[in-house]
Amino acid sequence: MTTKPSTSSRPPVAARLYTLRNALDMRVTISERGAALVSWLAPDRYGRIADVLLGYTHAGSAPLFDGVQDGDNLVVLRLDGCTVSYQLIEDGSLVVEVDGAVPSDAGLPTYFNLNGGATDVGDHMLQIDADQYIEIDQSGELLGRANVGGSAFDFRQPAPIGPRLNWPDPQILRAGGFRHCYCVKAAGRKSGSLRQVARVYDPGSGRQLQVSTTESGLQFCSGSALDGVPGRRGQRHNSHDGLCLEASSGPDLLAGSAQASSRHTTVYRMGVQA
Amino acid sequence: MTKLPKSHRIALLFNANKIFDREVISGIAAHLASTRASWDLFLEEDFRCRLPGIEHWHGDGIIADFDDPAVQAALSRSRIPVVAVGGSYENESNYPAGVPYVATDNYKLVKLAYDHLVEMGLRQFACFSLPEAQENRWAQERENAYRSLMRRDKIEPHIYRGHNTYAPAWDEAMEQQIKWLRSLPKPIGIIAVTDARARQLLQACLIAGIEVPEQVALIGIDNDPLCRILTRIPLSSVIQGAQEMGRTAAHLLDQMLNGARIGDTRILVPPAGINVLASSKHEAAKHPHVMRARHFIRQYACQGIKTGQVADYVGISRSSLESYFRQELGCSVHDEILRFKLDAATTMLARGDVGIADVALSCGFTSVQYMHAVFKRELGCTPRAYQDRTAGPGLVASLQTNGSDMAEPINSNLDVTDLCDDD
Repeated sequence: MTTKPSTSSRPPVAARLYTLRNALDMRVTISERGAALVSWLAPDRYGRIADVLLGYTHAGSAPLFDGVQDGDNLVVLRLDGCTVSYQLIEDGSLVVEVDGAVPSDAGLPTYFNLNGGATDVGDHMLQIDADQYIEIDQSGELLGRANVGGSAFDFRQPAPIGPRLNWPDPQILRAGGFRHCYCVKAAGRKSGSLRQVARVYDPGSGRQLQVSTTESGLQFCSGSALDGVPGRRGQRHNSHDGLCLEASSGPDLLAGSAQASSRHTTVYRMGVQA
Repeated sequence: MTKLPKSHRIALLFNANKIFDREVISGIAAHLASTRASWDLFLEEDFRCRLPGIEHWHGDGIIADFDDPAVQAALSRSRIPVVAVGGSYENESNYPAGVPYVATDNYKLVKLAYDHLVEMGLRQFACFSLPEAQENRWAQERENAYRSLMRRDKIEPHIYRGHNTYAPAWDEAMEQQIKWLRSLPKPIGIIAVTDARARQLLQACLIAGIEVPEQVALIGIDNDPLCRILTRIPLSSVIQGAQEMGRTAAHLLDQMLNGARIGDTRILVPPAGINVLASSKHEAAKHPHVMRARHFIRQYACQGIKTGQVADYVGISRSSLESYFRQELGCSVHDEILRFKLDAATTMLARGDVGIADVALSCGFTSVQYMHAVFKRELGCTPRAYQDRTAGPGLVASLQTNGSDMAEPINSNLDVTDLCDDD
């Protein structure tokens, strides 16, 4: 456990928040606690602003990073040789760069809900550019690659998440939903290059999230772990209130290549589709 | 392991003369292209459904449109696996017993349309339905969804079913629709149970001189490209998840053919999106002259109209119309006409497979050069560059981060043959 404060000038519990802004009326808030994304205010098709991140309590025991904000759109957080930077750019992209191994107890998952939490993410349309995913066992251990073709895991064409949860599929039954890693590195691509791997669209609000990463895997969680988790305003979340799309080195781990990339970039681009 | 998979004989019982059924079938085809399953598909050459003798057919499975009561009756005693596709029902007992059922979620279709109209600032709503019939129980379900939303929000419902139309009664049906439209409070948002229905009502509005979307904001269901072409004001519409329904139905049948017992599994598919076009882009009240002028511009911008013609239509002088426009919209009449032409042109270009000259011609630009100049001035790029940037899968990212490869589009328009499993 690395819970030691990184500076001695203030008590370890005081996590500062940093807010980034852009001309699209977006505001992204990042906490020093776990260098986590805690809020992203973004307009919908009608110009209404809502928070597209799930407000679950970030208190927890995640270690405290030391942040420095540079202007309106960049914050850099450091802890023990790990640097995480967030840059909000004018087209609605949030560029997340991680350099160095993130302490194992940091890395809080970021749950999105593009309708601002009005309903769950069952009607969100998801597209993932992957022919294969990694099957898991009861305890979440990686078993091996499987083809997505014809299964509930096939998101090569956009598909709503909710109905897929009802497809009779042993992997979904076992995990209580999706919490699987997709292999998103296209054959023949040099590793480490940034490419778009997923897109989520909410028909109600018109908001769209595009995800690009340099990593070989993309972890998709449909939020089955959220049941009963306390939310921002004290309410309890239900399963599937939010979804997670996080860069992962799952395929590399599975292949046994120990060289966990020490530097990777993920870009979340928020926008609207007319 | 290169054993040849067993081929199954599968019948698809649909009346695929409508966009919805065709999309379901294309979803089934997409499923087949992405799996090892080998199906010999049986369907009539006109894609319509013929039932007599179906019980004597020697096949392995059936996917059928259960919105058609005759299909449902004919398959109720089927000894081979059947997967039903159809509309959702509010009342559980309306679903067929013992058959897996993939449904379009009628409530969510209507709710998406309603929420959109609310966001456009409307406070009164009506529903244009169809006469009650066994063949279109889905229309009644959509009507019920509308009714329950009105009840929830304490708004007075206005429902009109109209008549079944046939040639000798066209005029009368139209007159009745106009009468109904005139009786409604304005401004009002109207949800039509299909695009075909919305198209009729849009026509009635234009004939009666009722401004769309200022007085009547209209939205349909199906996102039928044919209906879009056949209306003078582009029609907003809710997009059903029909392809996903096809994929789901095929997956379920596949499971059954492999011995899985899935009983009466029921999967409801929500809408895939909403196509917001001019017919529902209602804005808070403007001066009646401006509303009337914009109504005219919306219909005729692409026919190369000039400010003078708009003023004539409104019935005031050019200079007064210009001053109303300056005041209310902060632009000239000419700017507004140009904006519509530009909108139409960008929409066409985004579809990808059109020539620049054709776009200029059909959007009312006097020449390709002029359109080119307008694009450069308004959008900062040429029509060709615009087309290259937007056409295709619609997933092109334009990330500008330094030091990394540019993101490339997801290949969402994969040719189905590219999706076959490799062994």
